[in-house]
Amino acid sequence: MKVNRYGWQGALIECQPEQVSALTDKCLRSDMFTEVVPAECTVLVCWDKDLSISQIENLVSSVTAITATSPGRLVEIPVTYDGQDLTEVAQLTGLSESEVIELHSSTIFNAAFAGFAPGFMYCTGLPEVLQLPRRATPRTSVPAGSLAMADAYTAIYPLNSPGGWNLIGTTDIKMFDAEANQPSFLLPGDRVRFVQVTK
Amino acid sequence: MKTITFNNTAGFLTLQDQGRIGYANIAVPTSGAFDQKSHQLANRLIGNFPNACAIESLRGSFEFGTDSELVISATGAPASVQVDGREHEMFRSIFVPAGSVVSVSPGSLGMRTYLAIRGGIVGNQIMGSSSYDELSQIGTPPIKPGDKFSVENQVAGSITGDYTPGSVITGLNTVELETMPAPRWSGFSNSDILFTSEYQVTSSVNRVGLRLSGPALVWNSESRLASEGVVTGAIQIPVDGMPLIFGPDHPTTGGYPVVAVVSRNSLDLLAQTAPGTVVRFKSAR
Repeated sequence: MKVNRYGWQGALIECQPEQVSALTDKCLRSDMFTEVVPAECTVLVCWDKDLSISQIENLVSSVTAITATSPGRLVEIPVTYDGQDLTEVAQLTGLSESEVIELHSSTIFNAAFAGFAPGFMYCTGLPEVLQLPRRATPRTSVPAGSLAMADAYTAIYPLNSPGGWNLIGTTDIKMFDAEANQPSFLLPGDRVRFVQVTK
Repeated sequence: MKTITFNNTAGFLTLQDQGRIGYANIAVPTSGAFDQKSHQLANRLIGNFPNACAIESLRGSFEFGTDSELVISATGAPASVQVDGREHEMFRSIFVPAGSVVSVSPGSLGMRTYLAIRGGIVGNQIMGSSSYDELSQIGTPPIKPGDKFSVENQVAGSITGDYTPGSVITGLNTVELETMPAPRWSGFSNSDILFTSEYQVTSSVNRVGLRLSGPALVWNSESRLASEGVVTGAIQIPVDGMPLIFGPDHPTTGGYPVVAVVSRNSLDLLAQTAPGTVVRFKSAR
């Protein structure tokens, strides 16, 4: 693990992808930081008082491969596989629509990191056969609750927004609610399973 | 509670405090006042808590009426501040009688004027802050004519009678930014040109960031950089090689490499820097 200074009050910690959640957990529990931002193979930490890089190195040195194996909470999200691009996804992958659904709903994903919009969680673990590029022309409007895939990720659009991912389904779950105690339905480190429901 | 009502507004007027802390992991930016020094000074002059919610006006003009007496202060970019048509000085407390009208119009220098009211303005508090976040579009929506706001009673201390100019905004043609290399510094084949060249602020500037133009920085790796967290003040280099300096409403993660970071003082300066200004990066170590 490498702790790199990142500006006056920040550090970017580089690690293995499988260490991200344990490292994030360690940093959150320490109360040393104002922000802890996990990503694919880094954790960004920010602080508002004096802190040295060696203090952070000491903190993270106890995160080992063993602590990294503790799994996050399992969150199930009910979805309807009724996305506008489902037929096209099936054609492009060479699978049938029901095979796409079967594969997607039987995978346990990892909510790896957030970005793009509040509560938008990039979930990793997408089977290779389902990995397709973003759409050539992004949609100017994607409704909140759309289940989508692009590249190596799957995600749910938490708010109405533009978007270039392939839409495969929808959920009624409110993924982001600024008024809620816990505004984001998913948190980095969660394990995620999409459960097929019929409307 | 005391109430203010906006009659006229032109330009981009938002309410800002010190922002939302601790939500970057769910992709919610910190937001908050762009020129923090001016925001804090406006609050300090009238005995407010530093985090009190105040108006951030991006070269806007506005007018509001009040049903009660108020004490206000204005800082940041020079502007004309009038109470019932009578001109008042910025950078000191101003007494506003009940029933009067406060009007503010921008001068020619700087970008953002701050207007604070003793006790603090009540905004739409979301996740611990009333700040409008231009990227996520959460918080108190930009102020428009007819909007009414209450004024709180939360004061930290007494009113400062003195004139405290803070950092005076002049019409600088060139600004110098304190800069520190970021973790991806050595991934560029020509990072040094950042410190040896001049860049110019383009017209693409908002609370999310400022795009610059000048010599392109070249990322020397073929491989895609995995998305990673970014800090306020980060200088990100998109595919075209032109620096983009992140302001308070910046995205919390990004897939383009960050070459360096500018200091908090430099961000306050950038908040007041107009398009066309020449920027020089100066190594802080």
